[in-house]
Amino acid sequence: MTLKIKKDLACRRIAGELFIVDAAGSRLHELNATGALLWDCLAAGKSPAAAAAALAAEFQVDGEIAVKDADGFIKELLKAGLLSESGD
Amino acid sequence: MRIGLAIAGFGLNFKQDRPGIISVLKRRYGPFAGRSPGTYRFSAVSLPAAQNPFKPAVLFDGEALSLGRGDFKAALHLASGAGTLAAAPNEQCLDAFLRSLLSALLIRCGGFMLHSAGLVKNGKAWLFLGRSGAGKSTLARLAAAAGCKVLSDEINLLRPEGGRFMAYGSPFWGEMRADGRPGRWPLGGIYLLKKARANAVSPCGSAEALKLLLRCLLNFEKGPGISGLVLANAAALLKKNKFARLEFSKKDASFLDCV
Repeated sequence: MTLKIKKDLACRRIAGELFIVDAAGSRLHELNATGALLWDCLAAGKSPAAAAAALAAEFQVDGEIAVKDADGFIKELLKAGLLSESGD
Repeated sequence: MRIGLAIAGFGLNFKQDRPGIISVLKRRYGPFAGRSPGTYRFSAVSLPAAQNPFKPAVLFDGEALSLGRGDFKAALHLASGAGTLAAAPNEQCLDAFLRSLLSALLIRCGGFMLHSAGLVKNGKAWLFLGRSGAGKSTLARLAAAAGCKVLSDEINLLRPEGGRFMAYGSPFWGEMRADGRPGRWPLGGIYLLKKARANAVSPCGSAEALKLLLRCLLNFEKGPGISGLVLANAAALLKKNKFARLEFSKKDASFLDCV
């Protein structure tokens, strides 16, 4: 199972936050620093486990908490339609 | 019959073998008629009015732009400037067509069609973005009563020219229902409008400005690449212009002293 970021989104960092414009869905999403780090990892094709490890390293949080936070965040992205799961 | 319109720096020429659409355009957009050679040329035919779909759809495919809703269908080849328009000959339909067309053209050239109030002070244009109820129409009416040139109380047109943004006279109005005035003015700044007990200006962050800017942007296009264009345009506007928050009491025109 791999995660894919929705096509035709545009991202830009402004004032320390990551803004994601989804014109097709008429939505603007705003990610804080931890969300932006996880987003960058997923956009780079990293696995959820690798994204959680990056989160733990960058923000010096416990590994288990980082995995839980990353999973929760990925669920939010899936629910918002910004991510999709593919079976390959 | 023919008519040429100049809106937001775009020359729009229309011809039809009967009065229908041309008569409505002359009546509705009179102040913007005949002031520019036509960059884009539409051959028009009248269409019976239809309600659905009500929301316009805009699609770019290379150089070809297509626009449509229940009561109009248009196609334009951007490189050659040749286009066709089949539309119901009434003001509501032609307003929707021109809003869809101009919003798409403005975004393509780095500009914006923004839900906002706009006025001219000291030779510069000032825009006021706000959610519904923030006081855009009230602000525009108070400014007009105080002798200010108002660009629109509803929709304003911006495009970059020579390294700066220019605001153009808008034919699209809200409650004030004016005809609009042709012309262009350098953009002085943009205020985020908030209802308050007393008038005051305070700085606002880029993130807050971006959010309201995108919320106030008119865009009917959903195709590939549009998200990137919109965000790039917004970032350019944020970089080149001053944004501030205007707390607005809606009582009188004294807010003009803050601008």
